[in-house]
Amino acid sequence: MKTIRQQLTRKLLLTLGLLILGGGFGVYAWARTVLLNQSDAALRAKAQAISSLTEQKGPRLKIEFSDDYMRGFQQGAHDYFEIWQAPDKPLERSPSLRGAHLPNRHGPPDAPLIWNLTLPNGEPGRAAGIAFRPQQSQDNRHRNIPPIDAILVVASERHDLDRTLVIFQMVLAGGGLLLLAATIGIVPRVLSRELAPLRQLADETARINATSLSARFPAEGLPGELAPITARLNELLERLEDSFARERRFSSDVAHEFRTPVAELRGMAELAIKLPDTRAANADHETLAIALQLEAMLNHLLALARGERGELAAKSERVVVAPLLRDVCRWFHDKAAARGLVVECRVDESAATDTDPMMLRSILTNLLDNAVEYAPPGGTVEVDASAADQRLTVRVANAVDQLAEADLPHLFERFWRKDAARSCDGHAGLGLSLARVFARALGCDLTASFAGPSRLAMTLSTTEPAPSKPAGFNL
Amino acid sequence: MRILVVEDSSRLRQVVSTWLRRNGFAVDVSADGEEGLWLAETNDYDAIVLDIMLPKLDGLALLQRLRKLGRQTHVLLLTAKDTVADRVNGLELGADDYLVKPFAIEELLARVRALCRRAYGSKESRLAVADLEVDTAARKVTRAGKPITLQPREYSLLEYLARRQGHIVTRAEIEEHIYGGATEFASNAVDSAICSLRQKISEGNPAALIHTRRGLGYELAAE
Repeated sequence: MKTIRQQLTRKLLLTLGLLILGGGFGVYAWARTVLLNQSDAALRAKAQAISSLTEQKGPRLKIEFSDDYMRGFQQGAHDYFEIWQAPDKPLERSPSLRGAHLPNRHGPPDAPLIWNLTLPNGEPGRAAGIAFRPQQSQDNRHRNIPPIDAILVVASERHDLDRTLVIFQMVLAGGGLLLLAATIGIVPRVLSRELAPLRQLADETARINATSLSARFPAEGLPGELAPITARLNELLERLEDSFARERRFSSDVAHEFRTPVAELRGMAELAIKLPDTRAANADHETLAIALQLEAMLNHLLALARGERGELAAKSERVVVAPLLRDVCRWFHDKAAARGLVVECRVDESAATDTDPMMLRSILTNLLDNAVEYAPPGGTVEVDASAADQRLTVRVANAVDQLAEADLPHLFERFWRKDAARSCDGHAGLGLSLARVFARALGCDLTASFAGPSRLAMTLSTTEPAPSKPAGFNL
Repeated sequence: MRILVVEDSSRLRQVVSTWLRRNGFAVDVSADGEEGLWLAETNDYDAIVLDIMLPKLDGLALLQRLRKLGRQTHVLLLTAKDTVADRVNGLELGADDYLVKPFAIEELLARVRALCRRAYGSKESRLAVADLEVDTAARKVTRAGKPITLQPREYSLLEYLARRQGHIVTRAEIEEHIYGGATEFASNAVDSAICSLRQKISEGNPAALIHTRRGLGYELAAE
């Protein structure tokens, strides 16, 4: 698998290698140009000197060299010159030519022609050729003798220049190789160190599984590019951990809620088999009651699952709220009275809305059941309902003695109970979560809040117009 | 043996108490934690079968309070919570055994019996006094190798006396452990049960094993 570090290393090495190579060539070309320019300047100076020593006396040209000057052009020396009076009429040449000739090529006096050549002794050299007009002697100027143009070619062996360039090439190549080696050694290390947070992030991410969701990525000391990534990953992990915990809790709760009725069934059956005389007269009714309890729990769980998948289809028909709500309140009258509670139902008689009556009844039943079951004895359960502009609001308020503000978000969680000390009273803790799922299917919101000190209010309110889908689910 | 069953499910409470009673245990029942704690504090039980999820006071809190009070009654936690963490938590809080719902009533009985044996510091299921042997696992009694058939309550009385052999057992202790302190039984029930037991265990060998210690109680011993 390609890694960012490998790709960066490869590309950086390639880029730096090319830069080093290109830089080396550039430096060499610049140095060669400088050296050649220096060499050419020297050639031009020599040509200038020789031309200035050339004088026309009468119709002939004469060169006045000093011995010192001529020493550089003697036999065995490395400098050469040759002067022509006309292209085919050699006039003078240096002894270093040993009778040989230089090529007769030239440029104007201010721009001598310079070129590389092979000297008569077979060595590589560099030559400068100019055409010039020698100065006239005093006598010639008085006699008015026409001037003669001359051609001068000066050449030098380029051993020293070539050797300097070769040494420079070797220095450049050696330096380049050293630089390349250093780059190969340093770049991967630097990348490895600088990309360590990324590798650490990748390693930590790879280690995360369903059993290590409590792990979090470090937020301190990270590069700016990674900080938002780890922040989002940590948020994601937190949500995932919550979700897994909720699922585990749900599975555990489901198993727990089913274990007791199953234990009852099994115990009753085993006892009846082992001790037939102990079989109670109402054993079949008890068995049926357990079966109905299990069935109700299954139906609630299925409805919740469908609701969470968005598969609950609500009917839409005109529902007058007052009779429905009074009917539900009447249903709980005896249970409330047994607990010393009074249910006060205040409903706008004209209140009507387009909704699914069965789902609405189920929501109200759950709210009333919850209130009557858990309100401390001796209080009042207030039920208020109104509907205006297709927006229904139902509020069920009752006293609570153990609930805290922090418990409110948990009220709608499946199987949530405030206290570990609880009984198998037929309340599995699914009612409110189911009521909320139904509320959402009706385009309503179901919320819990404190309406005063130790007074809980559950409010059902329409958030969007009632849906008009065909009924697809029977409660 | 006297057992306390604290379970809020009336059906399970009925099943467990009936099953234990029919197997010779004296059983008290309670449907909530507060009452269960009160019963456990005020009575001397051989074992407690305790549900965790209870109204008013959950089973683990009950267990903690019981241990804080210094009561070492053996406790079998009976619960729908089945994770390792739940079991470990229950055992660390002082429970002696743990049984997850749903359960086989035979297993419940075996565990309760094991707890009762431990209550008397014995891991042995065979108790012997002279030529009388009581197999508490099989609930069989033999004398001189001959099997003796006993009613469940008679067996419980004999097992109780055998577990405390060499010690005098008072009438009150017998009433409490065998009859569960029930007020409906006749005032001479203990004497009648002792008499019946003496008759049955003397069928194989007339040498008396149950001795009356006047003014004190009864003792099961070889001499």
